[in-house]
Amino acid sequence: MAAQAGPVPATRRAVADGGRPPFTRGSVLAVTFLFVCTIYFLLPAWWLVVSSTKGPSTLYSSEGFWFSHFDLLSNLTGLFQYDGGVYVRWLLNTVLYAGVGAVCATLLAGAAGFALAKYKFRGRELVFSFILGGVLVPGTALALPLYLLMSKVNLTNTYWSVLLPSVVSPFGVYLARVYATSSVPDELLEAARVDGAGEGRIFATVVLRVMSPALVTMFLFQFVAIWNNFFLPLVMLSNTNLYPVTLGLYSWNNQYGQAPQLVSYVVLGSLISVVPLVVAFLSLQRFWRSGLTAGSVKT
Amino acid sequence: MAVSNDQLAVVAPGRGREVLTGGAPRRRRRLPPHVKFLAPFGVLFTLFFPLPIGYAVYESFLKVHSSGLGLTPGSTSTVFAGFSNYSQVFADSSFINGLGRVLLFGVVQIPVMLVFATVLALLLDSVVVRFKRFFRLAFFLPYGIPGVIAAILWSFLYLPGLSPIVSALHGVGFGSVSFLGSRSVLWSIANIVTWEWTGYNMLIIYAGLQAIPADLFEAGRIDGASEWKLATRIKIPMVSGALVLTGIFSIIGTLQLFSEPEVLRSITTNVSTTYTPNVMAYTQAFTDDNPYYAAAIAVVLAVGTFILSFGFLKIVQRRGAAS
Amino acid sequence: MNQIRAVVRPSASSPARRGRLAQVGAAACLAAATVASAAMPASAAPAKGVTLTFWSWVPGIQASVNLWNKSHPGIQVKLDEVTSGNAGTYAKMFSALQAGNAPDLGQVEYATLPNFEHVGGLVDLSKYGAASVKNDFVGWTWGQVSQAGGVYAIPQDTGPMGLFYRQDLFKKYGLAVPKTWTQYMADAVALHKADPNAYIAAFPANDGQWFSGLAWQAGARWFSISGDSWVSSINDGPSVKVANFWQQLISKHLVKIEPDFAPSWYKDLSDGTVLTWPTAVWGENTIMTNAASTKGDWRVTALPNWGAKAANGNWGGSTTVVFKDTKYPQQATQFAEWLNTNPASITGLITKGGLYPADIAGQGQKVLSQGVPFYGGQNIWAVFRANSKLVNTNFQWGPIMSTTFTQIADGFGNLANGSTTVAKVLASAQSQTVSAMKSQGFSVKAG
Repeated sequence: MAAQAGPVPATRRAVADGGRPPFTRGSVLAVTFLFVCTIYFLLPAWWLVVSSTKGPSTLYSSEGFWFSHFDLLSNLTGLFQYDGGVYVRWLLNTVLYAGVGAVCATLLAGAAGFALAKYKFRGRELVFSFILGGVLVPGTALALPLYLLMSKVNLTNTYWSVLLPSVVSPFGVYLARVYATSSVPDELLEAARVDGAGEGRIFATVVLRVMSPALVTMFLFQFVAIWNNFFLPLVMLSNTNLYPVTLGLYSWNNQYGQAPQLVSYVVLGSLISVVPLVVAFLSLQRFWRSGLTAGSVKT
Repeated sequence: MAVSNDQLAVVAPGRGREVLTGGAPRRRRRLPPHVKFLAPFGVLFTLFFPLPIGYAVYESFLKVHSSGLGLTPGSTSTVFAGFSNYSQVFADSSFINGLGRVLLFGVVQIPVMLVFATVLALLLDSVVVRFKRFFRLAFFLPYGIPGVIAAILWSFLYLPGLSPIVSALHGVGFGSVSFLGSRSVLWSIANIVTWEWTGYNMLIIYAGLQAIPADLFEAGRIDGASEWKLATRIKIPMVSGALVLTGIFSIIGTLQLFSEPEVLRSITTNVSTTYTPNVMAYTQAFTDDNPYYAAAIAVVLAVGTFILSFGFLKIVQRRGAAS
Repeated sequence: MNQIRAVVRPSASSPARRGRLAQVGAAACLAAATVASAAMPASAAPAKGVTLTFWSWVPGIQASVNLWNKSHPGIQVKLDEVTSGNAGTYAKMFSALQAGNAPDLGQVEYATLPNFEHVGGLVDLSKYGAASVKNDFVGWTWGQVSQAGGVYAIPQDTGPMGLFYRQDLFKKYGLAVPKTWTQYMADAVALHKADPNAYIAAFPANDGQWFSGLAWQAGARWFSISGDSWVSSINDGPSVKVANFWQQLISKHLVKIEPDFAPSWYKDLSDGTVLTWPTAVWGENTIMTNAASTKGDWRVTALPNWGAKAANGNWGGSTTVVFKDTKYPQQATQFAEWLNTNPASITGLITKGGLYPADIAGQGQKVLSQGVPFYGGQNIWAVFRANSKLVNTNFQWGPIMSTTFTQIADGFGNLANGSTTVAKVLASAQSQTVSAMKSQGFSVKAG
């Protein structure tokens, strides 16, 4: 699709929002529909909040969508103390995998995307298509052979086994290239070179700054991709101390029979693990949109 | 298959090269800058994309051979299997059923989700004036919840006899609804996926809509075209790029379906260990200790996904060019 | 491409700040590398002070491990509480074995031992003197852990079966405690007539092991060895008899089809939806933990019989194995022996884990002659002791049981929609097991 669209004119918003009467029959219907959808999207989250305050015995015996006996505090102490406080460790591991993994992935993909956008060399398009092909390969199909490869070099069941594959983001390269092509002016690079700056220095000081909005988007994308990736840690890790929080909660979810209190820890643990993320995502929403637009331009 | 060094080392005269030779004589290494920028990613990409695929292909041609009772040390060995793993995959009714199941899932769930997301985006873009931000946040929220946790969360809401939704439906006269029945469970999984990803897809489409210049449809509006006409004639064609992108990601996601069925498997007998090709590959590799067969399944799945998503892209592009 | 610039507003940060950002990023990568390498297993073994890792799912086994750690300061055991074998731990064990980083010790049920032997995952403990404890254990359990002169595990407990039933509800509905399966069927019919929402039992359609225990009672022999060849007979006469019996209950909707050890199933055990659970002795702990509100309501009796001759089946029961990747096979063997023969350790396993020991002396422990408050003070152990003597000890497991059980469970999944029967599932599991074994090169005959 052609990207002939120009900058969004300021008038557009004004026209769309204020140009017509706010309460037509259609808009009332639409808002009603949207409220129904809101219930659909929020109800499970509401259930999670309500249920995290209930103990294992009241979880099922009380009205699911409303509060009952308030056991939040005992759930909290139980959650953080169970199995030597392993839950905290899982949270930290998640930060390591998703946070550090996404930072590294962003820098690597940013550099690669920049190189593909701003240097002309033979085979450039071939390399780019090859990397793009990576976007289409399902991650889980890679996880099994990766596991076998990792076991050959004794890396399974280590932090590396999850972290290393997570720092490769072909989609990030794609986004970075698209963005660098359009937003990093050649004149800027020239000027820096005339000043005697090396290519690496130019990248670290000038290019990264210009590309920063795209980098934030890439970071968010990769963060979610790692945070969502359940299959890779499931396959790679057997030591519970290395688990990300998703895998940890999944393993507790399979252990109710041995320790029924775990059901409450799974519920509360899920809530605690998603709250910071949800907040972060919602507040960074504009980066999602910008990056997503960038991604959808060239198809 | 790898990004070969030869390709990268051959440097066409370009701006980077000029600078390198002319402007920076102090350089210690003679590698051109684009190689330095590409190399870290390239090395890791090669290690974690083409290499495992190649290894899976290699493994898919092997099998374990046991002799006699196969219990004593040394009675098992790994032998070359030719295409036998592949012929087994295509003759395996569990695999075919699992594949059919995810295809059915995709054919129904992807359009439903994308239409849903498009409708939400269109409403937010034009009709709705108030609570815009609130709606956007509410719809996007599930995306912040990882798939496994979403599946665990919904599994509580599906549990027969314990689910507040089942009891609420019972209360308003729906009888006892089973979310985990042999027929319904696939659609219960579809619901989890839809719940998680609709808001994300909506945001992509919404971003596309916001970027459409107003003058494009102001003219239409003055001509008296209805919102419906504006949406179908102007807006949707303008965001077709976004729709293609979401479509491709959805196809890839569907073929990889794993966490949701895996989580539901512990609470219903209607999700088997061969429910989706991915669950089957996992079971083969780790429960049945048959990594070579699992490798063949993974290769078939990867090739299938590639063909489907790439094919989808090509068809869409051809159509786009024709119209 | 203009669109991108239009939507993304350029950032206002200064170049210097961005440069620092890159440095911070690089530092973060480095830090990750350091953390990750610190977490990698140390290659040098400590001179003194051995630490062994042990994966187990037995409730309360930590107490026994603590006892050991207190009395053996030089050999510390670190327990990882994992989910039960078929719920994921066996998969983890197999994958860890493939990767060469299995724990030192693990909990493995008798049924899965041949699987682990087949992949060469277990240390032959006879090299470390395990044969010396042979006579401590019930004969047939030692038979199950030995293979061709090697000893691949130390028996821990056995799973003699019995019938747990809701004494209060049996009284309420006027049901007789069944002595035969015919009577059990009659109870099921009467119960369902009295209350269509109550069932005599749940049919755990995810659980091939449960079914194998009942088939075992009826005299089934799923596997045997003839010369240098396996004989597989999963759908032998007794198994089909049991299959048809449960099929009848299913067809008449007298049992509830649902997965066992799942929240809904626990709820059904708690609220009187399900009145009996034919299970092994360790089910004692499952009910007590997950249906705590039914304290005093449950009792135990022998499994109903098929005819005049009393017989019993076995479900589960497990062993302690030493995995091939251990650096300390001697110490690990020592722990495995101690865990399953030390009186104090066994007391813990009985009272906290609900295990019925395979250790002969352990079976004579005082706790096994006392009533259990949860079961209304009934001495349930006496029931199981009597019935453990009736277990057919010739029953043998095949080499790819996890595949066989997977096939049975996947087949059972279709029982609820009526597209198959229990007997058909057994027949297809039989043919699939035989063909899977053949394709892997085992010498196997269909029996």
